[in-house]
Amino acid sequence: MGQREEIEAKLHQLRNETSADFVALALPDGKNRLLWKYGSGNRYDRYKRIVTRTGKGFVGKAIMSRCPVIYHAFAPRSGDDPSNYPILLAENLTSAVIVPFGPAGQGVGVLLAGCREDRQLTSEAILRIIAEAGELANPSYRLFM
Amino acid sequence: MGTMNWIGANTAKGHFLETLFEHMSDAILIVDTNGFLIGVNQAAERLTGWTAEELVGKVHLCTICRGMATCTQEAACEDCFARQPRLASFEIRLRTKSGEEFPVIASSTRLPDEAMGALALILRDMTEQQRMERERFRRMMSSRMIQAQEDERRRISRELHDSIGQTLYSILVGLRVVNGLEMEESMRKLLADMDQLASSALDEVKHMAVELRPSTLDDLGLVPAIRSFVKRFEQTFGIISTFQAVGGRRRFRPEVETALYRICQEAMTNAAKYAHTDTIAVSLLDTGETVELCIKDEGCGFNPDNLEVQGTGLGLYGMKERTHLIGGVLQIRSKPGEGTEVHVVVPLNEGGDLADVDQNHTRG
Repeated sequence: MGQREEIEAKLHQLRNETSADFVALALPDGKNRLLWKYGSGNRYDRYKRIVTRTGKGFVGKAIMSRCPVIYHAFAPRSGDDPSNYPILLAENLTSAVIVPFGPAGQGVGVLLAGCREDRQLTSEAILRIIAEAGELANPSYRLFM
Repeated sequence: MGTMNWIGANTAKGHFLETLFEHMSDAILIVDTNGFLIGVNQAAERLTGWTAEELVGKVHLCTICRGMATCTQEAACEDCFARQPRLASFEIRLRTKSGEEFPVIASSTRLPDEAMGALALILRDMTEQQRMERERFRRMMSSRMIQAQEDERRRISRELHDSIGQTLYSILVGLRVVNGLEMEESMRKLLADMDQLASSALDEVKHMAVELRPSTLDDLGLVPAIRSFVKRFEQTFGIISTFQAVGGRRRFRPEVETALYRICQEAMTNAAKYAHTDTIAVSLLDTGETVELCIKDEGCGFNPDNLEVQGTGLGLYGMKERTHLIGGVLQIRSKPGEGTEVHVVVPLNEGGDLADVDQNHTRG
């Protein structure tokens, strides 16, 4: 099993275990940006083309604070800036948890899990996702180069 | 009609004057010293909705006149024109038979004693002129507000870039100098994190400056500005975005460039937010006489007759307003399930100026 298959299988399993609709992993590209390299449960491939700046929007908030950020009952509102939440728009997510992770000094990636149509992640599921992010930071996954 | 016992109405001159009175396009009301109407012409019947028979001798002036307009009030009774010998031009609020009220321009003259001291009141409907004047004023105000907003965005954008951006850059250089010194590994990792934070903040400041108002728009013009916006848009939202510019590469007037850039930005942002689309196509066509901007997506579409479905509709209002201010026409073609197309056509003359618009005035 190659690295890609291994990570994708992990995300797929995480999605099943937490009843999330969509799970994705974004990794730093060394230019203050994150690319969404792996995903499970996606509607389109739109998320793969998204380039997220490390300081921008919902994902930026998680990275800058180094804390998981949780959004419940999310919907785009008139007058707000959609470039703060393109990944939620791309997959039509109404709730999401964004967990930053990564070894010190090597940039930060995020693990995102979310639901569509007003479904929410349970507290147990959120804890499970946070634990999974901690595990992915392990150098054996070779996510940070 | 025929309402008064005209003195000398049987003479040729009297007949002529009566004909004149009846056929004037201005409404004429004759009021006796007690304030009751004693004569009206045909135009007055049309204006008030009452017939002469219903008015004459039966209706008091104050029933149809709700008061005079002043600087502060639409209708007031202080300094009533009926108490003054003559007043050349003023505005009153007229009430018709159906109870509808609207402003009319008036002039009044107290006739001499041989005409029973009656008051002659001439009225002209001003509703349309007033509406146009208000519209003109509103346009002027929104044009100035938009201009002020753009000026402010330009100022903040430059400040961000030149002051905060420069400072962050100096911090980065400093951090890299420190990083060259000998130190413990844990310290080096901390330094690398700080370097990363500062460099991310610098990137963010640069992006904010561009998002507020790209200097490209002032320096290089509309086509390069839209091209780089489309590229940023594709990266931000993952929506495959194309831009095609057809025609000459001339610069347009700054208002036109700014308005078209903002309309493009708003239409694309709306598409990102609501359309659930995978692709979007932008095109700019310069035909020589007009410049046309078209933003088309393949998303879920909506019913343009029911714009309030999502959001406040303010974005669409803003696009229309900006289009009107540069003398253009905005069309939104959309149907549920069939994507959305925003199409703007702005007439120009050869210099890229607005056609038929006096530069110092807004259009009425």
